[in-house]
Amino acid sequence: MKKIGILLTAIALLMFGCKKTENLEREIVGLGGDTWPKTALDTWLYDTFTKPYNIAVKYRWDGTEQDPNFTLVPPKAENVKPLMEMVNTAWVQPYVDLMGADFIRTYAPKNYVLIGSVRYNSGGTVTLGEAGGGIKITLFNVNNYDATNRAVSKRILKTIHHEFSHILHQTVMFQKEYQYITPSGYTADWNNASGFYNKGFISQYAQAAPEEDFVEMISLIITEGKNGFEVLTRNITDATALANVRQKQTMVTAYLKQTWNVDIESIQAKVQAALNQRAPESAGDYFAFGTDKLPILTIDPVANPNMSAPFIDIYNQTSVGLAGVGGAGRVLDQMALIRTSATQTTLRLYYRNTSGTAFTADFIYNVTNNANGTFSLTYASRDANADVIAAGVTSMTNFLAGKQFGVKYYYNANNTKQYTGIYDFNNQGTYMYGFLSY
Amino acid sequence: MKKQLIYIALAILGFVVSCKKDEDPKLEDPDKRIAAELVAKQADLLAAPNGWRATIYPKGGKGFMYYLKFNADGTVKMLSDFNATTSTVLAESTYRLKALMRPTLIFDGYSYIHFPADPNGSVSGGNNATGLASDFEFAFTKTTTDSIYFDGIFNGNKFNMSKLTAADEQKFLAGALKPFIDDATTATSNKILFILLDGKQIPVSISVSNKSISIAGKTSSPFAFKLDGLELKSPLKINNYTFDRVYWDDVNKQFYFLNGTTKIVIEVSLSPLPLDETPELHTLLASRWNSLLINMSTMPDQSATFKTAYNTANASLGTLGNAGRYIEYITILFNTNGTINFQIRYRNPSSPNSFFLADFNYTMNLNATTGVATFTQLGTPSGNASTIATYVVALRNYIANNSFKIAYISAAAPAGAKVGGFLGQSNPASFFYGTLSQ
Repeated sequence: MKKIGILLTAIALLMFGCKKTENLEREIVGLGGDTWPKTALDTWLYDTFTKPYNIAVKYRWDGTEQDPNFTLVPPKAENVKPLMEMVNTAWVQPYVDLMGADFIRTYAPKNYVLIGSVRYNSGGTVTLGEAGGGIKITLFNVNNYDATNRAVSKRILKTIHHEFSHILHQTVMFQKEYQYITPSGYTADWNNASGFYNKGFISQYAQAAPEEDFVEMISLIITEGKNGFEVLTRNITDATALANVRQKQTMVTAYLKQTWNVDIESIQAKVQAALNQRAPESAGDYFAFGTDKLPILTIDPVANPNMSAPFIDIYNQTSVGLAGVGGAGRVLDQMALIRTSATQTTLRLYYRNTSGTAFTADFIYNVTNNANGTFSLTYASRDANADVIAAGVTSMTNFLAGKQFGVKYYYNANNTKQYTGIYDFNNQGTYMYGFLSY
Repeated sequence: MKKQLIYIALAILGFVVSCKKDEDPKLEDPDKRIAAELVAKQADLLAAPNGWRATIYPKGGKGFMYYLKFNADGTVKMLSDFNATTSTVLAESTYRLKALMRPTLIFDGYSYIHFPADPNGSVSGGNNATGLASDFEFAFTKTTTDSIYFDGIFNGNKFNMSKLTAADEQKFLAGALKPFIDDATTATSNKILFILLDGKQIPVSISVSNKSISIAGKTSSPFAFKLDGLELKSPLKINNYTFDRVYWDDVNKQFYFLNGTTKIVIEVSLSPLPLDETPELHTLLASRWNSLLINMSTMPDQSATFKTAYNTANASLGTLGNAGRYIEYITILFNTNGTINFQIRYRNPSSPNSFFLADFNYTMNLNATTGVATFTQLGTPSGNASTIATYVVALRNYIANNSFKIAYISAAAPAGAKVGGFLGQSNPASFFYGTLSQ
């Protein structure tokens, strides 16, 4: 009996003796990241990126973000805002405008880390941008960022658009056929593989894998712009390779449209508009004679509306005049200016007769390049078709002769289209625009 | 039974004691202690009402000083002796205290402290990829009333800060650093410096741009500027003397060392200093060394007086028959009989494949102890020497009318050559030198 008493006591002690309470409310040091007094820059970054899109921009040094094998330094605080403004206007805002803020909130990489210097790699190369895991994008060389230097901005933008496109195709895979366009060209040894253009690739890195090829296409189309991308394709001299690149272009366009309802041309135009605000490129550099230029400017007021009223008047008079030649009722479809040589430009009118047969008529002008960067045209000759209709189209042929013309970019109301246009230098309210080709 | 009871009692006691679970750490919560420590460290940084003077001697060489003023809002103002701008323009950036392995001070926004650490060699003055291997994250190691000592995290450089007086801070803020650096540069660059130790001239070299000082090429140290001199990374030890800093005499614009209370002034020599070598050069003439070659194009450090004599003679030689003859180089041949041939080798452009030698002979009166020699013309110039004698009279007079100490010196010459100098005795600023050969 006594024993049972002792036993019970022991059990009771066991039950109550080990009662313990633990403080679970304790804060963990370092949880939630570092804190410091906010500066105006911190507030701006928070209001521009973190609050609306849940994107963190880390510009203050944090050694744990970086590979300790490299010597790096933090960025200059004064360079952070210009750089991130560019990122905002040329990456975030184009997508937000077209797709809504949720698109960026859902798919954008969430962590931007800025580094002041470049990263010097052991092979003597330097790294300017790096992305990992669809989460973190590291931008190097911030201390040398110059908002007016287009090449620098383009390189940074290309990294961002490249990585963002990866996230898109990792969310919904692109067409299976894509990898069979140039199946034998992909190689792990891409950085030693030369001659990528004529193997059907738009960049050297595109040879790394179909996924890289895919996002290189997207990022180059967007950051180079329509003209820049066309000039890139002029490097491809092999017809099959060019056809392959064109097919890839069609497929990335279709993928973005069908999967995400993203119009790549609109993104492209918006990004170019943003880039041109800070670091403009000269449209006149593209519209010129040469194998690295885009010498044909096609002008079609129906397809591309809202050209200046004075020009539309001239175009309409030309159209009416053409119809009146011999009472034959010819129909003007469109026109083109073609830089056939360094010294000559052709005005080509595309028209049909009443039975629907298409004709072209060429008026050839001599080109004078003026000191102020404009060019002037002087009538030189015309071909046989032009002989026939010349009397009816004097509005246009007279308009082109003797004026100084400048070349620049025009945009539609919401910057979803970028046109290359020609304007009367002394009367800049008179302009026409269209797209360049070769 | 008694035994059993004892065991049971022991077991109960064991339960009671062993189940005491105290979750509270013996010395406060470590997280709280870390936070408190960081607050204390920041208080230490802020406890310098007149700011700090900090120095770092990066692994990659040189030494730098910083004026630092920490603010409670996470900003820090700094000046540095890194370059002209950093010594005058007060820069503001940010800092942060963080508990890494040890409490750590991180300069997390780019400023002057990052210059030597910048991997871009053109910024740091070091190599690309590593810069000067400096630091900008520092772990606290020791705090005293007026100093704080740190270890660099990345490259392990020591970083020390000491409190400034109000007067010194005012000097830094008033821009006293730059004029001092400028004065120091003027006092040392392109100058032949020496100190007199035990009656001997001992060469000293101070390079403001390389932030280094050396004595006789035997002991050297990087330095950083102080307001009144140079702080050395390590003491300079020569001939039982130890100098642990360099003082600046602002009145005479010269540096000096202190040996006890005795000033040892770093003086400027007008002529190159004889090198302390045994056996001395003058004892080896015509035995170890048979000739001295003087070529103005490869030996540019000649004295102005000698250059004038040379150029006068050369120009005059060109007027001989207006043929444009010119001196190619000069060789002094030491003969065993105590004479020398002052041999001028010249060319005539009309015979481009030949050269001409003109020997002017002198008796050398050499003081075997001091190494000072005078030269007396021996005989009448003959042959080529006779032809050009009156034209090169400037050089002949230069030799005949001066007394020279003949000694090894250090001066610009083709690599690997042994340099011998003829140092003018009546006028120390008059000397010439050449390379010795057998």
